[in-house]
Amino acid sequence: MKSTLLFLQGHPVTRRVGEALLTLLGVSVLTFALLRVLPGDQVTASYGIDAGDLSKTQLAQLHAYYGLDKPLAEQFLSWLNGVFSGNLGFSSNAGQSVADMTAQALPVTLELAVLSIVLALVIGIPGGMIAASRPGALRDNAAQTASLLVLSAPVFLTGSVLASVLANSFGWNPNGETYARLTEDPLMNIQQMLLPALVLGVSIASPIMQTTRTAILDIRGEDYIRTARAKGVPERALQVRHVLRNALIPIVTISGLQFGFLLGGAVVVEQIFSLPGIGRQVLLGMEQKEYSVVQSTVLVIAVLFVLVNLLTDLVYRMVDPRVWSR
Amino acid sequence: MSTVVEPPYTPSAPARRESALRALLRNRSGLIGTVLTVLVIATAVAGSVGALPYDPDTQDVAAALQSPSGAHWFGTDQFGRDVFSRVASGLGSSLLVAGVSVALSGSLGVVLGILAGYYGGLLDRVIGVLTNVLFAFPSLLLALTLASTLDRSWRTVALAIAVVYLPIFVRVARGPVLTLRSADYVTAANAIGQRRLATLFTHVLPNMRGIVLVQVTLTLSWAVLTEASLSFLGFGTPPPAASLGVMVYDARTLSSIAPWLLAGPGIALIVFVIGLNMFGAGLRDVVDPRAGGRR
Repeated sequence: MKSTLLFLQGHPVTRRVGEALLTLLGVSVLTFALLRVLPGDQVTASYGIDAGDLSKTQLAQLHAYYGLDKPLAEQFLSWLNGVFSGNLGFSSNAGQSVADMTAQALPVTLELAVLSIVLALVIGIPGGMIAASRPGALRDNAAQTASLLVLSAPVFLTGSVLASVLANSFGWNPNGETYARLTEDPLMNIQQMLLPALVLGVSIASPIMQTTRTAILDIRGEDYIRTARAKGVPERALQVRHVLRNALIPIVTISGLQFGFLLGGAVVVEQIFSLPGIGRQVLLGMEQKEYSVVQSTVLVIAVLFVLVNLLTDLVYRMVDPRVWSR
Repeated sequence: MSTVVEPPYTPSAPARRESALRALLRNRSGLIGTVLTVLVIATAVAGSVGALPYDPDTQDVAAALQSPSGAHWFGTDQFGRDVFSRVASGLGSSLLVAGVSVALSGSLGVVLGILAGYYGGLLDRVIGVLTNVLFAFPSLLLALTLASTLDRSWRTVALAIAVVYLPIFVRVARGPVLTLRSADYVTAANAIGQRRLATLFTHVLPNMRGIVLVQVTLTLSWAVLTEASLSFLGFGTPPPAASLGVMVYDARTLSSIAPWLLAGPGIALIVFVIGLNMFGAGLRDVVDPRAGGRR
């Protein structure tokens, strides 16, 4: 038992998990602090313009009721305690608890994210392979130029152009209809998801393409490729089994890192295409000044992001044992 | 996109520094980037000082929704306002917000990164945790959250964007300091009795100018995109200042009868960001030829 503990203590995975936990603590402190720097506080925010009519004693009573007269550290701990027991606050506009809202919105965003990553891989990996097949040639330059163009066009622009062109010129606007859940009307759901996923997918295809290209060029110079070729492995098998398989390691990493960008981009894309995801939930909370919704949703997104990054890192270490020694 | 660019570090010889501009212009990416960036910045400055063909806010209903022509290069909008003048003015406010935010995050981030890398220990770990925490939020979401909680003005938007890009500069500056800290000339400076803090600013900082400059250029392009995205979502630079993001938002409903309303601000934004990216890529090739050789 003791030796297991000692093993865990200096282990890179323990260190990485510890780092993630520390980050999560910091994330919760920062999210909690956000509510404190707001103009006004929970009380005046929840009463809106009526807050001006409250007398000093009423305000003090409300503060005591919400626990706002307690020390900050105590408030933080009780808030954190609430979060752990699933209490993310209540939205008076939606008439629903934020936990329930999130449970409905999260699958929408996750579906969008998964579809986007799949599309990005489908575009990015072949793109990178084509570019790397003859570095410096026309196809390489064309791929690089396309990638720069994509990187420079913000999601809100490509989304707006695509949505309005298809709706106005072709009369195709599935996102004008009410949102169809995947479980209820999968055909409609896919139509509604396709454009937003394409917009996000294309924008992260660019870094995936670049990574694929660089990785392939690096791996091609390795000794084991020369050995395999000398051994007489057919070219096609060499490219797939030796080059591409090893290139997948950095590709997985970059895809994981892009997850954060997807969550940020989801705010924009869900707004343009009226998808009731978590990005829309945050934005609506901001517009309606429902800070409890904003705070909890931002926390959920950040926690998700930290966990995905941790997972990517661990998978990376598992696939490539050389990282252990670092 | 919050991908951190950490090119391997090579100190540049003083002789090469003199011809840095010439080397930049000889680089294909650097030349195109410089031309585009100068073009856009000139337009933005013209927009800021009001040296424009039309006043960006003056309405002229008789000239509403005209397609691009000699008189109105980018056409006019539904109120008869000149789209080119509005784009130029929008570029002006984009540049202001992006410039101020990158100046803030760059200077503070580099100082924090140098201190963390040079002194190490507890300071390094504290700064490391803060960096990780800021990195834990998707950048657009963090900017949006900060911008929506603060009172809305171009200053708070710039501040929000500055917070988002702070950790990138911390990481970019910290890396080379770890190498430079044990460089012979740093050891020598310390040995002859120069104070450590002085050594930092006379020997360490000047030697990482190049990579910081590259990061500034790239971050500037991300800041422009973030500012435009915030405006598009309704939390950016407040009216009456013209904003590219708001122009795109407003143009969506009219895009079938007046596509130039979408094209004007859209193309300006893309050219701005492409210019900065190519300028940055060219700069990286000049500053660090090893990293560029693989392209």
